[in-house]
Amino acid sequence: MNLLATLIRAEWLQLRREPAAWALLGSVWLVMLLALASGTSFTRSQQLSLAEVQRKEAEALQRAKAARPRSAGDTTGFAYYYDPTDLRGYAFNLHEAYAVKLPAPLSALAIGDADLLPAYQRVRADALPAEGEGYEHEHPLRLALGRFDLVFVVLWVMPLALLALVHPVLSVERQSRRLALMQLHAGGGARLMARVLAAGLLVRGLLPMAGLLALTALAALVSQAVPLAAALSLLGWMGMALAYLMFWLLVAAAVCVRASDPATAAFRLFAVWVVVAIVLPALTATLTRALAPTPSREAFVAQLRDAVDAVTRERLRHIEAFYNDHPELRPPNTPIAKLGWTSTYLIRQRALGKAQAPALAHFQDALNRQRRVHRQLSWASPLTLARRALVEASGNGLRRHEDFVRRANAHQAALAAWFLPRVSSAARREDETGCKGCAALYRFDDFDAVPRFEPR
Amino acid sequence: MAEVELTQQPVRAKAPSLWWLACTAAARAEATQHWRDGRSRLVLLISLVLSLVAAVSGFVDARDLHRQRAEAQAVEQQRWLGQGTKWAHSAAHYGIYAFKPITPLAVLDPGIESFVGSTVWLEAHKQNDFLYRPAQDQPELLRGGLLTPASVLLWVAPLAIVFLGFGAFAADRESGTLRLWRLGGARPSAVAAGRGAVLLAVGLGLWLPTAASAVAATAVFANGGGLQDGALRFFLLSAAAVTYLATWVLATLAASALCTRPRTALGLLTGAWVLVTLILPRAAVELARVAAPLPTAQAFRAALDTELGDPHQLADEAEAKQALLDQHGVKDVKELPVNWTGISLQRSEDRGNAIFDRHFGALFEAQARQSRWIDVLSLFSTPLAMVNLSSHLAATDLPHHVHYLQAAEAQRRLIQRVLNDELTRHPDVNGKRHESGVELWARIPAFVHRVAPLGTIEWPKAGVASLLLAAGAVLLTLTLALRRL
Repeated sequence: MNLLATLIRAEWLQLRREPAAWALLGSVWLVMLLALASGTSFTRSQQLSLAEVQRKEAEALQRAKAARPRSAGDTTGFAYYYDPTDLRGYAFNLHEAYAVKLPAPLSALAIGDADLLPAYQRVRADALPAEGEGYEHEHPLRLALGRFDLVFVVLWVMPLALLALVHPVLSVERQSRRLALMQLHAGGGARLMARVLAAGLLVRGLLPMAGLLALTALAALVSQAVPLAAALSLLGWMGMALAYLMFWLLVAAAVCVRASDPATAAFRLFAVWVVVAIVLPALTATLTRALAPTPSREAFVAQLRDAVDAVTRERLRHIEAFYNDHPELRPPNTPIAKLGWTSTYLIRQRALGKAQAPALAHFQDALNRQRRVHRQLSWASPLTLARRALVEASGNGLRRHEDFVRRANAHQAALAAWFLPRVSSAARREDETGCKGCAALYRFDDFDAVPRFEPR
Repeated sequence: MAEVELTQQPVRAKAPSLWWLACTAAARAEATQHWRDGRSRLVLLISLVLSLVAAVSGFVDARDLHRQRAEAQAVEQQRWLGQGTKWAHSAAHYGIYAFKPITPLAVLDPGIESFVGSTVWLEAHKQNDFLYRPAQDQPELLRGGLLTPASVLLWVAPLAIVFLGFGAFAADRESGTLRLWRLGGARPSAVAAGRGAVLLAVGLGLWLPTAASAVAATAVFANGGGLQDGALRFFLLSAAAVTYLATWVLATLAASALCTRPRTALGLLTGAWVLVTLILPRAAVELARVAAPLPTAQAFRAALDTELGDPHQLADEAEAKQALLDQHGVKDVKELPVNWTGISLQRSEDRGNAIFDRHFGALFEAQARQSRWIDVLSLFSTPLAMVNLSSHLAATDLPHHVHYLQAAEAQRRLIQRVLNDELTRHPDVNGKRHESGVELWARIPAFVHRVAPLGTIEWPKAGVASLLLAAGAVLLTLTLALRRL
């Protein structure tokens, strides 16, 4: 133990005399702070975007509540579409609601896939999957190059800095023959080597990296990039980052033990970095695509369009089927073929949703299979594993997004289930009374009762 | 006798210069050394495997995507023609999807293709956003380091050059062999040229599979994938690739000549690689975003929707209608020899189109401003300049995407005009709308997109300058460094 303490002290004194090492650590910390600022900026802009969307939803609700209903006997054509106190107008057009995915407390640490996946989607009573919404206007080159966030620095830059600091450990002693001299005095080869290695890796590798992570964590809390309430989660995240860097320490240990001189150690370590940081992730991703190809969006669009055509051709059958299942909603006097557009719109959209469901399910199954294969193959790529873990922990990964999409789609189904019987009931009353387009039959003011999406 | 002797002097072949001899000897020695060195063989093997994998997977991906989109477009065209008999405005709302085609040079550099929508619905009243970014379906793969031929050129080839060349002069200096070959009369420039040629050959060898896959794609893609100047683009891309690789070769030799130890040269070069390849491009794009921000999606959509209002109701609708009635001397639209609905719909389209042009035009201009900033900042990062230039030449950059967007929108407007004109020519009869069939749908030509020829849309001028300046700067640095040897 005394020998280890002596070696540690010697390494520390040596490190203190290396201005290049301190310059490197200072540069890396600066890069980490810039990355943190970039992640914070992204999170803030996302929060602003979501606040804007929620404000629009609140304003639409206020406008609806403030609207005065049109006259009871008004039977004009398009008026209902712009009248929020008309159930049809509200359900088909004016109900503005959004499912939002709020940024997680650790979002600032890893932008991850958040810039590629929408953070909100409009939810509608017609329950069709929303596409094209929720994306911010970004320069596509920015998306293509990837983000400058803390995960990027931890995964790619910090290991390089770590390897630059630790590569002389043991190999310098071996090259200068000091190791042999020390072995003569200390008596015993392997134990001494282990202690020299441990001291070197501790002082030149683990402690500086842990220090950088700790300082960055402190900066994150002080700048409120991460709220104080999430300090424990932040500690966990930094722990994961340190675990990844410990992997690199082990790599360094394995290389330095055998390297005859620092130049050889540096070469081998950088070669390993290239393999781990570039080659393995690339091969993993390429193999995943080969084993589980990305499903074709073009075929998917064709299937959706086929469903639209099929439902349009068979619309009367679908409407009939709905009324067979819900005889209490069937208009008593008018045959199905003569029913108005508004009476059957949601019924047809429901049928369309069912007709498109197999295509959606098939596409999602293919995507899920690809993601499963990638997760399995990722065990061969430490960087891929680390990236996934850090991004998921920050809340900007695929799992949280998939959960959000599931919840948003469930909420859309709930909205459809809420509006459909109400519109159909009103249509039935319209048919019973014979008063076509009468506003009173579709009067609606129970805006607060409409199901709302609970963001989390 | 003397005259005969004078005129009969044997003709001697011109002896190769000492410089050339030193150059070729250095090249042979370098190549032999790398071939014998296990580390070098490993570097070459890994790099070559990556290059082949990227080339093959890039070719397969591009070929499959080209085929899928071409087939999808043909299916959509058949769907459009086979939509049966209906009111023309119903057909306008039924619409048709456009699928963005892939060019064969996307094999070399897919650019932004995965990060922009690939499909757009051309329908009445709306200039829709492009849907289905490929990146949204596979974010972990793309962000997790999926290999493309462009990344082999930008990342892998320079790394291979650095790994193989960092000890070119520094190792000689450290081992003392530098003095030996100087004593032998070999000039440093000759040795640098020979060793540099070997390194450049390695870089080009890694790029060759990619180039071959692009040529194969050109042969396989129908109609050249919409490219009118594919050969010129390929030639310029090749020239840019050679310049880029040569810059890394010169930088590696310069660092090796400047540093006293190989380890220092390796550290300097890997640090430079990390800085210019990984950090600076990302930082430059962030800076460009701050310098030329884009409007938020919400603000854009709100402004557009407010100005659009209701597509079926125009503020001056009544006035226009009255003018038409007066022109024909009738009191009711039913008495007109033309269909007012068709006229009204086209007026609505024209009004909407002007609004779309204003708002989308402003958005495209904002994106172009940001692109210009990125281009200027690429003066500080040759890899970023190469990214810009490579994707521009492969027709996979933002200006080419906007060109396609505008072409698709022009097709949408053509569809609406043809349908509305048909509607206008056929007033309702006894309250019954005129229905049209395949004769009308077929009147609209299928959408075929031709990629804008080089030079007709904005290109990365600063990127070209960056590439040439960087090459010049490292050449100067190498020249000065060699003098110090």
